[in-house]
Amino acid sequence: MSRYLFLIITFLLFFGVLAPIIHAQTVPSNSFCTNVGGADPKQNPCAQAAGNLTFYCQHDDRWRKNPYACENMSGAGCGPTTMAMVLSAYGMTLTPAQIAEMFTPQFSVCNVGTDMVSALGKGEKPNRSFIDQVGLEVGKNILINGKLDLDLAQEYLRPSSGYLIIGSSINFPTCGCGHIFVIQAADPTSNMIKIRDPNNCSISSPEERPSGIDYPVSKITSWLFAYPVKKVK
Amino acid sequence: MSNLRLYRYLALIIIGFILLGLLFIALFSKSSSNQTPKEGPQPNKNYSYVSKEDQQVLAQDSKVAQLIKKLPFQGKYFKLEYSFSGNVFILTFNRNQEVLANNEFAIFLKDNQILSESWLQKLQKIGK
Repeated sequence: MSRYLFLIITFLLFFGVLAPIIHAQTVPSNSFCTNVGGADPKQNPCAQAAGNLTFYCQHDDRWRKNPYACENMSGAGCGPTTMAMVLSAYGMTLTPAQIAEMFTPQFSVCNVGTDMVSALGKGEKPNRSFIDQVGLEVGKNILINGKLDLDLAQEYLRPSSGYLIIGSSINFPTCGCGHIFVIQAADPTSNMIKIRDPNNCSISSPEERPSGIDYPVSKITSWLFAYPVKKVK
Repeated sequence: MSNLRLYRYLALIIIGFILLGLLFIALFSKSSSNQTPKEGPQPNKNYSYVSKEDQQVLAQDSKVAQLIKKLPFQGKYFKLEYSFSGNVFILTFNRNQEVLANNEFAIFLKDNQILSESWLQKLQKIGK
C-alpha cells in the first residue's frame, strides 16, 4: 500500500512542482539583441562584420525604440537597417538610426515602413536625393516572372561587378510579413541565396551573424523587388 | 486510525502541491506572454511599400532584366552588350549604317517588350 502511495506522491510531485519549473525554463525568453556598444563584433553581438559588411539588427537597443514610419525601428525599421548594412559594405558608416532620419519623411510611409523603390530612385517620378547623397548606383530589378533570377543575381554579386542586392518580399518566412533584407550571395546551381535579415538578430541564432543565412530561394515567396546596389562615389 | 489521519495529511499536502503547481503554471504562462515583445514586425503586415505606379516601373525594369539575359546580342546592323559593373548598355554599330542600326534596334527592343529606349536608362551608342 505504502509503495503505491509513494509512487502516486512522486507522480503528483513531478506534475505539481517539477513540471512547472521545467516549463518555465523551456519558455523562450526575449531574444532581441540586448547588448550595446560599437560595431565591434566582440563587443556587440548585434553588429557582426562579415567581410566588409556590418550586420545591423533593427532591434538593437541603440535604436529599436526610435520612432520610424509612425511606429518604431524595431517594428518598421527593416528598410533603413538594410540600407545601413549595404552602405557599411562600402565603408560608409551610417547607423540604421541615421538612415532612418535620412529616409524620413520622404521615403518612410506612416504605419507601413519604407518606400525603398523611391529611395533607390526607381519610382515613377524618380527621386534621386538619397542615392545621390550617398553615392549609390542601382541596377535593374532582377525579378523575372515574379521570382528572383539567380543567374542575374550571381552576375551582379560577382566581385568584378561589386553589387549587393536589396530584396523585398511581402511574405518573408521569418516574420510572415512584408520585409526588406540584403542578399549577399547567390548560387543558381543549388538555388540558394545568402541573406542578411535585419529582423533575425536573435542570440539563439548565432549562425546568422558570422556570415549570413543560407536560404533556399524557393523559401522566399511573393517577391516585391530585388535591386542590385553599389556605392560608386 | 492514525494511518487514516496520515493519509489525510498526505492528501492535503498533495492537493497543496497540485494547487501550487497550477499557480506556477499560471504565473509562468502569464509572465512569458508578458515577455513576448509587442515590438518587432507583426505577421501579415507589409513593411515594404510599393505604390501602384511604381509597380509598373518594377515591371518595366523586370523586362529590361529579361533583356539583359539575352545579351550580348549581335544583330545584322548592331551589337548590344550590357556591363554589369557599369550598369550600362553598349550599342555598337557601323556609322555608315546608323539609320538601319537604329531601326533594327527599335524592333529588337519592341520584340523584347521594351516600349521605350528610356527604360534602359544608361545607353552608350558607339558608331564605328
